[in-house]
Amino acid sequence: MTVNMLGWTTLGQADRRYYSPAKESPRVTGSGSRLHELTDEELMVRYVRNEVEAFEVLFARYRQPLFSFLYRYLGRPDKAEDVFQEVFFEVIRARKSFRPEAKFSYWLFRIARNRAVDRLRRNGFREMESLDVPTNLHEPESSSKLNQLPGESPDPETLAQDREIAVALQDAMDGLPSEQREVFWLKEMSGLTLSEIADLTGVSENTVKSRLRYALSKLRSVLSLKGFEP
Amino acid sequence: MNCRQAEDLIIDYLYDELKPESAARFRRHLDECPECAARASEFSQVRSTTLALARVEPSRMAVNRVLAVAREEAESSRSVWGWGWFKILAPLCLMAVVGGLVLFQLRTGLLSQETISSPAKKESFKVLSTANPKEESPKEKSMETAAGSSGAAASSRDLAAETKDSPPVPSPSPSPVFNSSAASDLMTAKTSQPSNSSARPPDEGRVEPQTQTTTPAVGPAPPVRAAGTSSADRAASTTGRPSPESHRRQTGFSFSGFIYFEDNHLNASRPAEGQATVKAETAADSAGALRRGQEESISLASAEKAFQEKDYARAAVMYSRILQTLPPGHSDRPQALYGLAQAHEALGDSARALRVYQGLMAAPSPYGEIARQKMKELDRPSD
Repeated sequence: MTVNMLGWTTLGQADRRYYSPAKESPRVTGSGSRLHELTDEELMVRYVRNEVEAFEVLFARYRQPLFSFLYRYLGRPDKAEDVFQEVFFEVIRARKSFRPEAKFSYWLFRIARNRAVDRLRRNGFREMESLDVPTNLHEPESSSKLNQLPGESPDPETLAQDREIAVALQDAMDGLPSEQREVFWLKEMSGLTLSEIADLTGVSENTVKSRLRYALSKLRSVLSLKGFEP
Repeated sequence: MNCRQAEDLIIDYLYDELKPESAARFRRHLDECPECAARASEFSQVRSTTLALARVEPSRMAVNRVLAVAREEAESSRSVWGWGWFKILAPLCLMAVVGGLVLFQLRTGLLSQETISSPAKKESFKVLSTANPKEESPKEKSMETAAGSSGAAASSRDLAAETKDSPPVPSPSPSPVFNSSAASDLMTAKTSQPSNSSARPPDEGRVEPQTQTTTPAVGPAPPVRAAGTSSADRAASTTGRPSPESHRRQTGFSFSGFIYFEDNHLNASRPAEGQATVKAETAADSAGALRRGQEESISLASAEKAFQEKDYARAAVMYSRILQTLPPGHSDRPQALYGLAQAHEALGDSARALRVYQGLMAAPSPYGEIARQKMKELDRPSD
């Protein structure tokens, strides 16, 4: 089991490795490798022509970021999974209405955000689980997210420190206003630009930047208070 | 670039959305300003840590379900016999069925506009024998009367008003057009050109629908044998649909039963005009007349023939229909009125006969005198 050495010094090297769905999509072999080189929109056009392999590549690119966004936004894995399936079912059903000139990720996350908002309104509250849960929520034996952070194999002391950081981050996330949390996770998971997020959430780009700045400042200050200095 | 400007751009820088020149200037500022550099670094570390902790995978079940649905949808669209073809074929089938129905109705004459829009029908009531062209009597003459007159329209309305009172007859193919009203005829009876009449020889060969109690009186013979346009045609002009006769002429197919019931339905919504509206026949009369006279042409000659055959109910209906056809002041009206009165008298319906005779009193000789004499005989005041 690969376990990282979570420390602020090592995180500094990884700060440019923020998540980009298109960059981290799994490779497929054979004809799939050619599909992998296609853009999201080209893949979607192929799926409109009933090429299932194109959808599989597209799904592989977005299933984790989308589910992560929904999970962080809704706060519970069961709700996130319901909405996750609904979103992709909607994509499948409405594939013929997809316009190739439109950006697929924007379309996908717009559907997801709308569905998530509906779900939150329906349930009336949001619950949040700890970050220290298995990566695959349905396989308790799988490693936790803490264990999947990049870095060297940890010693027990480092592992305990990681867990403390995770708890501190969790508290900081829960303390964020929902607007800041929404913008933060959208930006981190979707790969959309700031202007696209502004358009999707119905606020100005400056508001989006401001919310992101506040969210990052709050997270940093909470971590500092907990004694985790970068 | 100062610190304030850098603060504005720090988010764009962190998320790599600065233009290359702006990014280069920002980096230069970070090199010069340790505070801003520390802030940018902290933000980057918070992001990467949070992101690493936040990544989660959906369950395999959810993943497989989505992929299964995606394959299913693609295959059903691709499938020759799938919904893709169904979506194409379903509207075509629907169109074919609707088209077939429309053609069928056009074929049977229900929707045919030919009869309705025919100038001949609009401008005149062409009196033709319509039952069967092969059996068309050469003796019958064509007669055209002024069409579209208020009298004719009133007759049509009366006809319609009467129809609603007559229940549908359980006949295999009843005709809708054997419903008549003598009221309009009585109200507008203006007769002229009477002619001599001959006695009608009795005919024992028919079974009458009602008990015959009165021998028909001898009266003036019909001077003109008008081969009349059937009332069915007039009914068609009223209701906007072809008559059974006309569509038989066009199609050779009888659909009169359907039209009959539809006529009753349509006419039920039309109000009766005037208080003096009188039914010409009872439902039983109509039934018998319908059964026997459905295929027969309506003319004075045929009415007279029916009378001679002692089929008084049918004769009464036919006379009524002829009267509805004829406009006020037409020369054949006295004869038709007289025939109608005689038919009623023969049927034992003295009240109706009297009313018809009353209407005939104003007619010129010899109908006026005959009517007065008849009224005396029936022991009723002449006026």
